[in-house]
Amino acid sequence: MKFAVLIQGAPYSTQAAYSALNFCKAVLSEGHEIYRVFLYQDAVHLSTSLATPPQDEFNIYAAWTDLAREHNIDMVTCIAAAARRGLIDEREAKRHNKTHFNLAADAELSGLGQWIDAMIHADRSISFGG
Amino acid sequence: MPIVQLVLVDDVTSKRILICITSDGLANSAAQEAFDLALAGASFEQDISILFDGAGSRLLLPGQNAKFLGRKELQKALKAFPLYGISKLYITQKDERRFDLDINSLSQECSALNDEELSALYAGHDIVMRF
Amino acid sequence: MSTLHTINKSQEHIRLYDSLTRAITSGDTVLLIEDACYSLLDRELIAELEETSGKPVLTLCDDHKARGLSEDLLGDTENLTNTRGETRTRGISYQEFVQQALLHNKTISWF
Repeated sequence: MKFAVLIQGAPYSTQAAYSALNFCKAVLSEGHEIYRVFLYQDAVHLSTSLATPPQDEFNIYAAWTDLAREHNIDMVTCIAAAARRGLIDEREAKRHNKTHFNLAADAELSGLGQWIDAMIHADRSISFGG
Repeated sequence: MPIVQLVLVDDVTSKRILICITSDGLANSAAQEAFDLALAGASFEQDISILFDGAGSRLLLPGQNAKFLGRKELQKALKAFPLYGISKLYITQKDERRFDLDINSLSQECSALNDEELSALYAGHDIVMRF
Repeated sequence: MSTLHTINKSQEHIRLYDSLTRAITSGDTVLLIEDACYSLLDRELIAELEETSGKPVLTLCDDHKARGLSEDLLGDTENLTNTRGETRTRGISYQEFVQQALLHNKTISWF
């Protein structure tokens, strides 16, 4: 079965990104598929490349990057929600005349259509809020 | 306005999606982002319903002017809903009483649901998202 | 059509629990995650949720244990009565959370 996962809560401010991470691991270990993970609202902060949590703390950014890479998970960050919160990639930086960008190398910016598409094609949709 | 992919949905299947808005739009961007999702869903031919729940029902009060706070007018987006085919808007009778809302003078036409209709609304949708 | 309701706030969030209760129809299941595990301490609230859904409330084991809540509140399918003769709430793993999501037609997240 295919799952579409929406994360709405910010990392560190809420448990949403942790709960979603554990849920996704369980989906995969149960032999199911993650159709897409979509980061919306404050969850877009999960896509920053600049977060450096203390080394003795659990690194939620690295944990998500590792899981997504290992299982080739399609993870999409909402472009509008991200831009609103100061998360942009190189292309967006150029477009908006900014000298810096901060989106993680693995992160992909796209529109809400990606979440609509995920809801349509997945067997189950689940959200993790703040 | 949401940024919408041009070609994405190959076999357009329509799902019944209920979007619940639980904050009034001034405290944070949750209502705005729920609106964006509603409009994106509607432009992908999805069957969208919106429940204005709790504090969210105050979005429908007439005479609001976010410009006093230098903010974007969410009421304008509300008025665009019918153009996108979003016409199923709901509040609860409980909020109607609690916030002294007059169903006939709200900024958009909507139905006030009793408890039975409310649980049927939740049960009758394929996907429910809360904001 | 049945629904799995997940809720992640403790029992202090009375209005959220009120909204959840209104959304439950017979045959739905409520799963307590994150801070909602604390709500197990409010037996009246749990009883109300169970009465509305007609099904026992579930709780996510990892979140329960992470909060140091009494193991006496938790059971599995075998030991659902605690030392005081009260009914324990069934604690489930993330794998069972996934199974529950598939057993129901949809999941609603209350936060």
